[in-house]
Amino acid sequence: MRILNLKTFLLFLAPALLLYSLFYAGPIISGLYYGFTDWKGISFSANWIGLDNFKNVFSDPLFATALRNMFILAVVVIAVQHAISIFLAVLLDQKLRGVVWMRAVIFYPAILNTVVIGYIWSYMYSPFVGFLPKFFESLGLDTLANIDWLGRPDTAIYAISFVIIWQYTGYSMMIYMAGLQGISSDIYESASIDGANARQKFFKITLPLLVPAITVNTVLSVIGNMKQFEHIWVMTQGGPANSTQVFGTLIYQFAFKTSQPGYGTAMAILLSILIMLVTVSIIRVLGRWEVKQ
Amino acid sequence: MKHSRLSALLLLVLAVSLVVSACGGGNKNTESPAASPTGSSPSKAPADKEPVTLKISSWNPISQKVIEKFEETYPYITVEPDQIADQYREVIRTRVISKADMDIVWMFPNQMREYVDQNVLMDMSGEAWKGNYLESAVQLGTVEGKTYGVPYNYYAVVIFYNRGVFNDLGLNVPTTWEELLDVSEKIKASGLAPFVTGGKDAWATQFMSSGNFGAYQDKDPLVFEKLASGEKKWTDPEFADFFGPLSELVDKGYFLENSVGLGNAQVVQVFKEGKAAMYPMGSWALDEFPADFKEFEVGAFPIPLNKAGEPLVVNLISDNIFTGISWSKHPEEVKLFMDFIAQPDTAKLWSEDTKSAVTVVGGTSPTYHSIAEELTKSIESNVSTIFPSLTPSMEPAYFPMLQQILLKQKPDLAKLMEEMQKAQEKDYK
Repeated sequence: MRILNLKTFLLFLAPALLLYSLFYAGPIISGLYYGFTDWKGISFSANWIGLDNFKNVFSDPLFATALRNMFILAVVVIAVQHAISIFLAVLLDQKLRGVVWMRAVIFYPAILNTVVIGYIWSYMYSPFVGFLPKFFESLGLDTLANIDWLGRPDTAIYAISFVIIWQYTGYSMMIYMAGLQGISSDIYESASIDGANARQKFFKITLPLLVPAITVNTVLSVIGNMKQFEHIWVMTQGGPANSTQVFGTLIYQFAFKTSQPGYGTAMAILLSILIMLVTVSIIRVLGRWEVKQ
Repeated sequence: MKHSRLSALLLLVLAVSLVVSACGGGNKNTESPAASPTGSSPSKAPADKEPVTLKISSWNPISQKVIEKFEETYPYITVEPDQIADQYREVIRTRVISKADMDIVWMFPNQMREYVDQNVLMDMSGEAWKGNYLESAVQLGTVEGKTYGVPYNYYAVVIFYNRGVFNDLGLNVPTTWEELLDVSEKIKASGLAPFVTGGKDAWATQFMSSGNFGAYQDKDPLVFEKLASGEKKWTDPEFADFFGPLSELVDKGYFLENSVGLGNAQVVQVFKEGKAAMYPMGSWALDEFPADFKEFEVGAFPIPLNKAGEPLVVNLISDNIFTGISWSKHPEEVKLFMDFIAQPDTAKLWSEDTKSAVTVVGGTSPTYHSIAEELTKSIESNVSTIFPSLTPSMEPAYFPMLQQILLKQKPDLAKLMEEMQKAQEKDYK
């Protein structure tokens, strides 16, 4: 009986285990291995070169650029996107007319294809054919109208951040709304009885009880922004003059464009370690702030 | 899971390509209705031949008319065109790793050496068709004395210009650098931007620098091999002015303001709207000016980076090298196809059908575009060389430098050459 159980157990496990080994475990292990080689990507042969790839990554000036941009994206996007989405979540959690429709409109960009969004925004930003310059012009803001947003190293990364925020605000809003709906109305009632005003209710009840949703949202956006690739590739390809390079674009460039997949893999390993560290720290820090209802 | 993203992706593509190639193999028996000869088969195609499907991978379409004519001549062969418009190198790379079923594949020049090293390509040194092509084209498909293929189309690096503007201002087509500066100054004085180039698609900004390659090769045909091996260095005095022309045009304010963020498609649009008078690009952009483009009359001239007294060297770009795969199941048919496209009649058909110039001598149709004849004349009246392919690490280093110059960051040009050399050294063997 026991043996039969084990057999059945293995039989059920086998397909998933096979797929997992083939598509996840195998590549992870071979990826780790290739990070320590000078693999050229044509054949399976590669020479072991120890830590050389990693040393080169650290001495590569593009590594610093990628770190800086990753930091900008993470901070700007998280701060702005989350402030807006918490505000919208609280607002659209009320029983207002047309609230369902408004939620849908705000959520809509999240379901659009990122590449399409990237192309559309590239045109919107363009000083020659774009909507944005015309918009600023009509307001009489000629200085702003003449800025080549994606073509200047000092504005490009922020212009891209704006698009990311625009796309994902609705998405985080939905998670916050789920969090809001989990807060018992009894707490608000008793607070009202105690004479709390709306502002106090928000800061003393809503926000502390939203921390679990904030944690989820923050982790999701941090991971999303640290491995950012699509928006940047479509809008600037890491330019101008490398000013918007991030790990995603660099890894792609090294792995596929310059025949250094070994080096690209080393960078990918570093990125995953970095993401792991940052994610764990965020969960730790925010975990402390969580309060039990 | 994240650190496996790359390898997982690669493996997935590999698996998919295996499946796809397996499907391709299956077609052999189901397709090729032409395989049953009806008595009128040409002498070269015996009636008892097994039906063969020849797979041709390319990034641009293969001329359908040429395929039809080939299939008519060899009724037992069916050509299966396999166009991969995007991520071509990467797709081919994964297929090569998995030894997928392939017969004829376009290769970029800078892929040749590594694939030859890995025995991926069929040696075609003994084939008679070599003599039908431009010498420089055969060279591009030759690695260490052995010919593995030949590039089929060529384009010229030119400056497209607005003839209306030139006529209004009484300007002639410049043939030296000084004349180009003079023309630009007059256009600027008229209130129009002389040049437009984007910055987002960095490759598209290179021609005012890469235009120097022709002169370098004209002086020393092996210059790029020497750079790749370290015999010459980018910091040598002969390359000192590499970024000079672009830098000078930027300093003089000859580029349309605020255009660094533009992609090439947007640049074309801006040029078509008449916001700038000249647009440096490869002659493939002729496609952007079809017969129904009526905004203004477009013209094109080779980029004159030569100082007065120096020869104007036209840069040709030729990169679609037809190669045979060494493990193809139909090596004989691969050779038949290679021989077939080398015939001037076939080449003319291709040229007319795809509206492009071909490397087969006497194979370019003079009517593939309204300015084709004029352009071909100006190319043939000057010295021309085929654009070299830089080693893999060069472009990612080189292109951002162009953006720095276009952004008016005024980088130290000598420092840039040092950076070029550093990138080059990464690819030393």
